[in-house]
Amino acid sequence: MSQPPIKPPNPLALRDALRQASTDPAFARRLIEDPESLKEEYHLADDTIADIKRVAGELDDHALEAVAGGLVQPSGGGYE
Amino acid sequence: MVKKLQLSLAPRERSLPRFNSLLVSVTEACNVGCAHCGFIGSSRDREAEAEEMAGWVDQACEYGVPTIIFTGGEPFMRFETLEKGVATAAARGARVACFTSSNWASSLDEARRTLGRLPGLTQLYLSSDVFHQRKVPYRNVYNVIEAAHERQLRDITICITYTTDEERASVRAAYDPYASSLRFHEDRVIPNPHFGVKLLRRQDPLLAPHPEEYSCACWIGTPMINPDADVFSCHIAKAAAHRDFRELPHYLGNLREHGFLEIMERSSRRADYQFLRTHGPRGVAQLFDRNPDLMQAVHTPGRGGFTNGCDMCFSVLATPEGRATLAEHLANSAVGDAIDIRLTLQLGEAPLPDSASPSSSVSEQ
Repeated sequence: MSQPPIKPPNPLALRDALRQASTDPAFARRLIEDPESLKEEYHLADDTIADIKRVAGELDDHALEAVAGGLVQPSGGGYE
Repeated sequence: MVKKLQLSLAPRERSLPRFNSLLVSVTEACNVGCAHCGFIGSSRDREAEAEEMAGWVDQACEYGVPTIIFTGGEPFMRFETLEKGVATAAARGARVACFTSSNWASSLDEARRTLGRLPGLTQLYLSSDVFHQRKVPYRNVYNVIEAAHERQLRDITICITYTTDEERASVRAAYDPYASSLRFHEDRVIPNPHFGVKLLRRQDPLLAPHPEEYSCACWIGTPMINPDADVFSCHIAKAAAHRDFRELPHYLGNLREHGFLEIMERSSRRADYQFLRTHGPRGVAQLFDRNPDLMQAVHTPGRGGFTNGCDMCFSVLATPEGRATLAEHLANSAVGDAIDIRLTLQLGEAPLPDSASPSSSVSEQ
């Protein structure tokens, strides 16, 4: 009986990096501050890195700390 | 025992949307009947009983919503339901706000008596504009302000809806004697089927269908429950008083079918809803670039643009063409990546799951 072909493991992708960032503040900080350092491991395209930098650039210091520190951020906007 | 509101979330809850506040519509009836408003004074038979609505408030507080805002119609017209809702939210430790026209406050004593029955109330939103004040004397609004101040209820926002800057300024001037103790929220009117074409023609210039005209931020941090238990992403819910809008991306579920937590769990897996949360009106305006014929589909006689982001977002997604263009947009992997990046880096939430559905119709399967 022949063995089924061995599937290569799924390569890591942007969503894996973000999933990790949502639970690991140190990783989130690295993704925000130096996305290029994760480019090969997570197969991040240049456009994706540019988008990460654009979004990170829009965060003020408080929001940046909240994300990197794993704190709660409410949805954008809403009644106050 | 009063439960503390959540200040931090477990990893599983990282995938759930978090909100600043929640609107709860007590009734769709209103006894003012303003020219700019869709609630034209009719009473409806789909209103929840006080106990049921209090149950929805309880679920939202359990979920972690820090502020419950009662609205309508005119919420003071169903006072016992409002009273029960306010007491439930306050017992849960939430901040409690309420919109009103102030029409009921015909004297200072009446305002004192009525507010005295709502001890959990911490904030008031007083709707005041040229439309309301054709029916409601300014004196009534002043009565509410003065009675609230006597009760040390000092978080009061005057909500001015206007078609021209002249109107806005005239209403604001009426509050000069109280201005230092009030906040003001001013926004353009959102046209509805009852809104006269004459009013539309004389209003301030409209916004063009270009993304740069709109912000990514909007009121989507405040979802809304209608009196029939329908939950929508934002105050667009009010449009559903007239028509069935459950196929819009703004529709999240019904509390008679699912609990608040389950509705939010399902919604968090929907790319269309997460697109609205992360990209807002600016993202919706990108649909005009994707489909050059979209403005023709959205356009109605007398309208050449939009009063604000809410008007544009709703006008586009209320059309089949708008929803089809959104579906096409969401099928682009770059758009999916952009949603994921913003969910995690802007909102501190997990990205969409690999099993994410493009819309509500798919997530129900």
